[in-house]
Parts: sequence; structure tokens; C-alpha cells
Amino acid sequence: MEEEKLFFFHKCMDDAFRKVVSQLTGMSLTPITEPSSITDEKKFSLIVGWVGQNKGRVLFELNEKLALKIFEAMNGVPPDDDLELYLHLAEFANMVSGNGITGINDFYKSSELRLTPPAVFAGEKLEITSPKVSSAGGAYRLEYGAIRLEIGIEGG
Amino acid sequence: MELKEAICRSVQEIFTMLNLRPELKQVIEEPSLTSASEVNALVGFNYSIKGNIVFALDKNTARQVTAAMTGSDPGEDDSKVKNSIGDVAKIVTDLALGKMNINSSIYYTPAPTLVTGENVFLLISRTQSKRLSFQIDNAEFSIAYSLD
Repeated sequence: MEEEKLFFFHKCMDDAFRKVVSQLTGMSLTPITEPSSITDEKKFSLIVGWVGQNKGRVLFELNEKLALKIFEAMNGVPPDDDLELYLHLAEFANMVSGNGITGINDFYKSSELRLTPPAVFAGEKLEITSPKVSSAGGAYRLEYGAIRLEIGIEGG
Repeated sequence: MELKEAICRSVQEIFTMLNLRPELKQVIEEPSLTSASEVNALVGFNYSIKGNIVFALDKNTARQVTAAMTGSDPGEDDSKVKNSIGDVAKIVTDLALGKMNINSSIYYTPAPTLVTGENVFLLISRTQSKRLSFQIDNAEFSIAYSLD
């Protein structure tokens, strides 16, 4: 049952992700099995948690080049500074997870899931782990790099 | 009680149980984009208040805290360190929220997310965040927090 739920949560977030990327950037997404191309020196990790019946989080991982291209596609121009880029990535993560959580709450009426604010980490050799969380994920290739989406729910 | 006070008290209570004596050294107002540490544990929350808390430590301090929690030096066992730091971040956050009269059996925080790396930068809020710097013996750690 929990595994079923995990995959349903992933499907909702994945649908939301593809919808938001398409609406905001017009970029096309190709599913890939292994996101080996997220190997830039600098990587971005966008994390949005949620609370309620099944606590968890969604994680997006992408390289700097793709992050900049997503910003440009959203705004038409490159960011003025790092802060502007981080803020837009946080908003991007918020839009996807907000959209995804709505789908989950519509189906599991008693879930009452609510999002925590987005957090953006960037750095070299960045590793993200969530002890005590069961996860399901997938990756996509875009024109300028790959992006990975992973859902984790507590216990599982 | 304000969140800052609640975090400080919770840190004292939990670390005292671990036989560590943290001392609050500094409270810093930070811009939204700020540098982070080698080991970071993120705990978000959303109930009557909404925000993020990030425990930030260097590797040596993380090992020291892990040793205090588990009773043995974790050595190069990164997973043991991440588990321990994640646990302490979650416990301190839950306890702090409890002190703010968020009276529920569940404290509305998801499991912690651990972020490790080099030259790490962090954004947990659109506006400002605060950072509490603590010293334990010769080591330091900090807790950044923001409210939406």
C-alpha cells in the first residue's frame, strides 16, 4: 500500500513537473534512465518538504548550465546575479510541488498535505540523502542538461 | 516564546543530554542567499507557522556530535554521521516548535534532508534568515532559520 502511494505521489509530481516545465520554458523533456550528465562541478538541489498524513519531500537536481537556461526561458534574459537565479529556482520548485500536492490532496482527501517553504542548495560534490525516507524518482534530458526528480515519503 | 529562544533552549536541552555544552556565540541576520557548511540538515515545518531550519556543521563537528550520540567515533562512516545529524536536527526542531505552543502529537515536520558538499550555498527564504552560532569546546556549529 505504501509503495503504491509512493508511486502515486511520484506520478502526481512528475505530471506537475512536466506541465510546469512546458508552460514556463517551452522546453521538451526526454525521459532517461540514468542522469549521468548531472556532473557539473556545481550542482543545484531544490528541496520542498510537505507535512500531513504522509510526510515527505520532493527533490530536484540539476546542473548550473541547465538552471541558467531554465531561468532564461522563464524570463527572456539571464539573471542579474546569483540571488535572482536562486529565487527563481525556489519559485520553480514551489510551483511544481504546489501543483503536485494539489493532485495528491484531490485523490487522497484525508491527506491534508501542506508544503514547507522551498530550500535551494548549490555546491560542488553535492550529495543529498534522506534517512528514514523511501523514495522513487526519474530523470529527464533537456537541451542543456539533465534534471532529476525524486519523491520521498517517510517510512514507506 | 519566539522561535529563536525556542531553538536555543532546545539546543541546550538536547546537547546537555549528550554531555555537550553548547554556548550561543552570535546571532546574525543574513541575506536570503548565504554560505552553508560541509554537512547540513534541513528540516522544514508548516503548521501555524511555516519555515525552514538548517543545522550546519563542518565534518569534524558532525563526527563529534555523532560520537556523543552513539557512544563511539563514527570514523569514516558517513551514513552514521548523516543519520545522527539528521536525528538531532529533527529532535531540536520538534522540541523548539513544541515550546512555541504548537501543541500536537505530531509536530508537522517531515524527515530531515541531509546536504553535504563543498563550497555550498543555501537559500531557505525569499527575504532574510537568521543564524545562531554555537560553540562546543573547540568546535562550532550553526542553526539557520527562517519564517515564511
